[in-house]
Amino acid sequence: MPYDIPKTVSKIYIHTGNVLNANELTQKAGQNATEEVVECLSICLSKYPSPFALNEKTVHLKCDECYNNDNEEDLALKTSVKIFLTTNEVDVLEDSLKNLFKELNEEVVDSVILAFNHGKDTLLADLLTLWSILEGYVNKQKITRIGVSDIDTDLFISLYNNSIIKPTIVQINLNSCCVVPEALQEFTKDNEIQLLTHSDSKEILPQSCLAEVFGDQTELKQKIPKLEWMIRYLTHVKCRGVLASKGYIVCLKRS
Amino acid sequence: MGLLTEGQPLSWDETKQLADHVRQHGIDQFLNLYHQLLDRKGDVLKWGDEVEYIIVKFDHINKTAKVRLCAQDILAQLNEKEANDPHNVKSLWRPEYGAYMIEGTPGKPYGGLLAHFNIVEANMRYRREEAQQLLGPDEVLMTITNFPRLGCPEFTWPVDQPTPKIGPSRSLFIPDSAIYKGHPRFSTLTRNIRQRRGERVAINIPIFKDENTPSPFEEDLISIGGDTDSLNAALPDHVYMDAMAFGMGCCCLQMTFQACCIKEARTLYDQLTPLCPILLALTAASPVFRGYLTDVDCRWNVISGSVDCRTRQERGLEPLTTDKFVIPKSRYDSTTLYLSSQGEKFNDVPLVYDETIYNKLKSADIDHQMAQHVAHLFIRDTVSLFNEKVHQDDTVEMDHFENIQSTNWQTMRFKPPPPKSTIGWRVEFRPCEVQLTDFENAAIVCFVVLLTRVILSYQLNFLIPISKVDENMSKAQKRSAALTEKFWFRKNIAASTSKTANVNVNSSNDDASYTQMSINEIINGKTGEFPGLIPLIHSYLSSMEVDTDTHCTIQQYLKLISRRASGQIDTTASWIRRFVQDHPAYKRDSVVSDEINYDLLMTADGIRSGRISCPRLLGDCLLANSKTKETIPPAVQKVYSCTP
Repeated sequence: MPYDIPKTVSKIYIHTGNVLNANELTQKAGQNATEEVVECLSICLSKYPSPFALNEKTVHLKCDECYNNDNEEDLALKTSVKIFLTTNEVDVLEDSLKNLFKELNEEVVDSVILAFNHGKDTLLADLLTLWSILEGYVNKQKITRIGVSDIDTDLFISLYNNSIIKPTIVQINLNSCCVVPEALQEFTKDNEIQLLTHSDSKEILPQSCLAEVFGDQTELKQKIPKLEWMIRYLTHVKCRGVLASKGYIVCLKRS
Repeated sequence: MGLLTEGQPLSWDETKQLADHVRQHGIDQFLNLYHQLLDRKGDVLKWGDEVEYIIVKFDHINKTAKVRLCAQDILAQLNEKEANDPHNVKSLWRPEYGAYMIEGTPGKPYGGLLAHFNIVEANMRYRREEAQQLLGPDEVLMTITNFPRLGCPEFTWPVDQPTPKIGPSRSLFIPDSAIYKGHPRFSTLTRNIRQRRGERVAINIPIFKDENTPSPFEEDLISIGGDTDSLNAALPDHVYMDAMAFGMGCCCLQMTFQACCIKEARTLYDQLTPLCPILLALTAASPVFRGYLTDVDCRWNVISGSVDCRTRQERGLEPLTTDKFVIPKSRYDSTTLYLSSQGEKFNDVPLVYDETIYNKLKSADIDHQMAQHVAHLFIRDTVSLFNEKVHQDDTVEMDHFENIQSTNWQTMRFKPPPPKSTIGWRVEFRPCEVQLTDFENAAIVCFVVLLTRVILSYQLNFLIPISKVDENMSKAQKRSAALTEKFWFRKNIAASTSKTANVNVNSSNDDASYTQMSINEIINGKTGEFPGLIPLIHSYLSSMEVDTDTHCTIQQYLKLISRRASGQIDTTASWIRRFVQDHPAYKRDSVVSDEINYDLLMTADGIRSGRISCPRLLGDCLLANSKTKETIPPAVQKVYSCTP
């Protein structure tokens, strides 16, 4: 379903709301992370009647909380977040974090994992600059634990050795969970770092997929926005292995 | 196999006279406990597995394998460890029905972390080694659902003879020494079930008709002491069995989960009920009974018949004169009633229940379904009562309730918290047959526990009319059911709590809400119709924090189950069947001889230990591929303190 966005708008924020119990997703269980995001955005846009905050340049879309967990008791919950960056600019990470806390309406997030833009030549200095922003949130006690995803072992060790607040999580792709590089395995073990899996593709939301979401008419293609950052948040019920909510916040930019 | 109360067993006549006493006080005990604990909330996930083992003695010179009647000695040693250090032992050991069986569980329950899935197999290995160390040189601890030649001449070690005219079993095939004697419960149950029924139990399982199997297949029972009772009971073309040991002497794989509150326990009880026949078919592991290849793959109906204490009147063979009810099922059978409000409309099988008890429960503020459930369990008489336990304080004790509860062996068990304990409302999942290796057993256990997490996270709905679940139960036991049968299964399992779905809530009871699916479609999915249980688990896992080793292990487990379901590799039952039929000594006459039995069990043990590779059974999921560990990684332990 093509979604009509005024031409003047250059930034689009979409928050899917809790998609955990979306029938469409359940019936398509097992699809990969990218397919799932595309599905969620499509559902959100198809349901969303009109933007709730609109000015000349930015638009915020938030899907209604269509799905309610009928939890009657006060549950001990914790929220984990992964931030996918398409560029390693400081402003972009800051924008994502600002929106995260605004959208989630939560005081503290348990963990944030950073999936930064992996170039071959990602410099430690660039990564440390991004890292210092996360450290700031930890210092303000807004985030409890921070980590990174898909990082070269040497770079990870450098990050660990050069940061003030140490990463306590490193995520690697599920495909290699049975063959983790030995150096990484040892380093995480020695330093009590959680070595976790993810099943996200390298490019979480490629342009071709956004084209699918926003309609794929050729003449419109140049107007299709580009991903700037994406957040996936997951809320778990502590010690019960149960998910309480899951959602995506996406920032798209149109030049 | 349930409550083990110590003491002096009463005779059947004494027990029978106290049947109403036990029922009345059992209900009072339930009421007290229920009202005290109804509002108990916020319990974390704890869970555990139970594995039953058979001790086999091999004679490598004569090529025989027999069940070794030494459980009492072994247990004494294993239990000593527990008594000396009850809080730190890594395993707990309990007696089982057979004098050749033991049951092992982890020392402590597992908790609510994904990392706990990675210690299940290591603990199973530990248990096996721990017990194995106590056995003699040619004795092996095996996880086989049924000892293939149970009830054949000289199947025990030491060898013993059956006594058809005296003793608790009075079987033509099973000597009473095969019953565990370390606790009086087992012999007492055997005697009382037989006496209550008024005749020996009678189990007839259709024989697998091979080229040279006599037709009709009939055995000479008179020469081994058969009387009118046995001659009337034995059916032609069936393998006839006449004792409790044939059923309760089988091994199962069970899991128990603690729910956060009673509501969640009722939900899990219901949601897992339709999965029972599916898991039974998938874990099928017992195609051979009393030395014959049969036409079934599962133990279920054998156990059901082995403890069928119903009188002729209760079975509907004679008009009701002295008994109260015609009862359609044995004490050991599938559940007949959903317990959650969501399940209520799917309760389409007429339920036999005690109306007086029902009314008593109702007037004490127990809701309709729970009252029915308990009044249904309580149509049964006690079949085992101990002198010391007749008179109890109903405000603190639960023995009379447990007496009836624990002798209702259904596919699911709803377990109230024990009095004065930290344990919450629990649900037990009971259909699975035990597999040959720890790898497979861990895979099944993790699969089922993961499913419970998936059901709760996505609020899935698997409910179909309970009559269809019953139909599935009988299909599940057929030969090669996992490959060839179609099972009733719900199509739209997505949560019905979304605003859009609420509109259609009335149509969810339509015939269209369920359809027939193969095990493969249920487990792996059917494009456009059903997502499949394994893809659902994958989705769930991708939303959880899973450490690499645990995820690697779980992937191996899911691969095994996926391939079993698709038929790429054999179920245990198919593998056993194939082994027998391909054996050079097999004469195509359905007979599993001593020699075949010996080779089968030696090979099974070889596969278990990794000495023999068996892609036909395990695929390329080599046992060494799982990354199971004895403990949870410190990095995970540090962050979460979910370990019970």
